[in-house]
Amino acid sequence: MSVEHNCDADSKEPIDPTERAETVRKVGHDLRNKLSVMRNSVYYLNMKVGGQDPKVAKHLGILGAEIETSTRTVCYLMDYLHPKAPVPACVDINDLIRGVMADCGNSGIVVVWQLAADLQVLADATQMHSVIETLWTYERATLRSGDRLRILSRRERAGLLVEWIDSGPGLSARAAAVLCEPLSDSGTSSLGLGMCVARQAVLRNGGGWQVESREGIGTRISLRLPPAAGEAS
Amino acid sequence: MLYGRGSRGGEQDRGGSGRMSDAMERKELLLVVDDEAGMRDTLIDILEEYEWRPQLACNGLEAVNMVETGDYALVLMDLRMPVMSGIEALARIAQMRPRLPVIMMSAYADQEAMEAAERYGARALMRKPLDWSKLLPLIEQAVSEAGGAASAAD
Repeated sequence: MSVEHNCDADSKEPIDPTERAETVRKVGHDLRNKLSVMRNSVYYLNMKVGGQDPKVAKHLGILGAEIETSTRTVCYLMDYLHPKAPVPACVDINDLIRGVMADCGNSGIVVVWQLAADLQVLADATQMHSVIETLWTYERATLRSGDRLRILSRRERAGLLVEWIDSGPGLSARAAAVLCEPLSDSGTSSLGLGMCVARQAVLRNGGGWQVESREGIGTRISLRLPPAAGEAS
Repeated sequence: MLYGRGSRGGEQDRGGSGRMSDAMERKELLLVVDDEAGMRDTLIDILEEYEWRPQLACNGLEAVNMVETGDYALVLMDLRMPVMSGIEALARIAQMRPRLPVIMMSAYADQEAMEAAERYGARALMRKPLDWSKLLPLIEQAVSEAGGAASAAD
């Protein structure tokens, strides 16, 4: 039996945005499920044979890292094409940063903390968590062992300021300009979706986002976040 | 973890092989509910390595029926499933066995699902892919706090 497909260009219709969002959600959900199964398998193999042979351990590590990267990409894609409206709540931003960066001691990066006490922002906790995760992922990918990362938070008139100031290689003017542009050719292997989604999330939560960078000097990423009620800014 | 009540998230797991000594007794019965065969297979193998005794259900309805007759210490259940969703099954289990801890899993939970899971008393909602360094201590703690098999006490 033959099935005839009509591929006439005239039959192409623009995809309805609601339908597109639903498709993205379903495909993303399915991919995350598959990646979850793969991660479980890697975890199991690590338990059973990971310690027996350094090469087996190395390849399990490669698989694990690729699964993590793919999971992040799927999440970024879903958040980019199907952004969720923020559900604002009172969030201790310092706790959030420390929680996400709990593994910073093993990164080789010299992290300097300058966090003002008890900073509460009014923002979607899950989205802010993703923003901090993205920034930390970016710094880990950019900085070399021994590079310095200063994390600062303080109250300001215009809200609460959180800054990541690194002593890494910095960005060219062109790379800095397209850092938050999705799928831009920034000269790296990164798709650029993560920073784009993080910026969108900060803006949707009523905050501000600024990137300053100089090649050979480092990069400063500044977030201005709305204070929670009762927070003296 | 998207949310959790009274958990000690971030604790280290046992690392290494994860196996307990042969002298130790097998732990309680857990019910694993997921419509994905790969997910069920991998969950069961990992949990068995940690000496739990997992049993499987493929959807919410099967889970509700199994909880009705079985002495489970904890339910680990997916949110989105055919026949009966995880949230509907959670609501029914909460009615039947209010003390039975239920941990929900989801690949991409929306706010509505998170609120529903919390409303029906889920112990936590874990994001997929699962972080085993958080999930294993959470299971241990939830089972220990519920005092083992919950059905007898309910």
